Amino acid sequence: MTATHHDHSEGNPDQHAGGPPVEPFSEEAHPTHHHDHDPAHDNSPEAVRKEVRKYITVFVMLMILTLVTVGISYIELPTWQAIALGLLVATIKGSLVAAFFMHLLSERKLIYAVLVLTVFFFGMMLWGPWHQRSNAEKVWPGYDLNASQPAPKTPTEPQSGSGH
Amino acid sequence: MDAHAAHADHHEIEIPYTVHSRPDTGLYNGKLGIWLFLASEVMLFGALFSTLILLRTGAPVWPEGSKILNVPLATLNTFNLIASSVTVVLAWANLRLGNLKKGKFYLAVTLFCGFVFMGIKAVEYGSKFSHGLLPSTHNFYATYYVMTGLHGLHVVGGMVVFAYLLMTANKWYATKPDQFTNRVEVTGLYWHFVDLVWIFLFPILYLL
Repeated sequence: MTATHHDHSEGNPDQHAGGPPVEPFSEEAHPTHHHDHDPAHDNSPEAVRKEVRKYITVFVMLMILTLVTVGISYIELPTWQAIALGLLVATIKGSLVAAFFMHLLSERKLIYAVLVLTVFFFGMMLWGPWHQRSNAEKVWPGYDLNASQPAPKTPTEPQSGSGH
Repeated sequence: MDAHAAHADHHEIEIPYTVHSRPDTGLYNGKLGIWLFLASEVMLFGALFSTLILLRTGAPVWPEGSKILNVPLATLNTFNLIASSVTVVLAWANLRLGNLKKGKFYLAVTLFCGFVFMGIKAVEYGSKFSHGLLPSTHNFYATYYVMTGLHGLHVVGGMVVFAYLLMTANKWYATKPDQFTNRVEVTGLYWHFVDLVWIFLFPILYLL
């Protein structure tokens, strides 16, 4: 990875022989005999056909799970149970899309690292409003989620150590 | 230097790592780029989901989506969008096998699914508008329009890219087949993300 590096690696995959040692992200990062685009993908006809069969299977499962989602909504469940169940099915469907269509099952570590950060901050963002609702009772005794005037006029003193 | 000048004559700029993996990341640049973009997209939609939680848990009453939105049409659109995700991976698979004709066919089907999605969405919006149900009517409609609207814009964005890929397919595939195949893969990753967002939007807005 010097400044003189050129991406003409068609004929000489071992382009770093003379340069400084490169620390690869994973052991397979050096394309030795693959000269194809991405070493994560095998472009042989058998491998691709096997993948296509997998895609069709996932497609059928997604269709069935969509019907399940709609079906669940017709069952009269308490709101929170219905939401939990609906989100569970949606999460399963989303995982199928991410794992197979976006082929996250066999992806590079760097992408996993990006996604771990994303999932963490996404989780924080969803947890925030959730948390403040569930803690409202501590800040405002008598806080009633179902009241049309939720906030009493005078908030009580915050407990020691809590931010607000 | 001379070799460079001669090279510059027929290719203006040679962008590195469009086909081969960078040794340090193990990825071609386009793929890392799209994943970073999708990470930012997760935060964009995440902010809207977060807002929805805040508004919904804070509201004394919240309407049931299934009673006021068109569930059959949205279910149809869910099938349609999932099908279009499959056609993108089929396009990519065929390009990897060297079959440009089939690859283009599946790209065209995907683009068609995009039109169907937006058409159904237009019918839904139209019927709501005609009943005077606007974003300002209620927070439910505000979140419904903002979230499905932003999602719809993403569908349109994907359709523009698919149209571009279809129009340039012959030229790219003749000169740089691997690069074109990667472009389809990367566009597919975006399209699957749009599908994934819908998989959550559909139950949250329409069913729960």
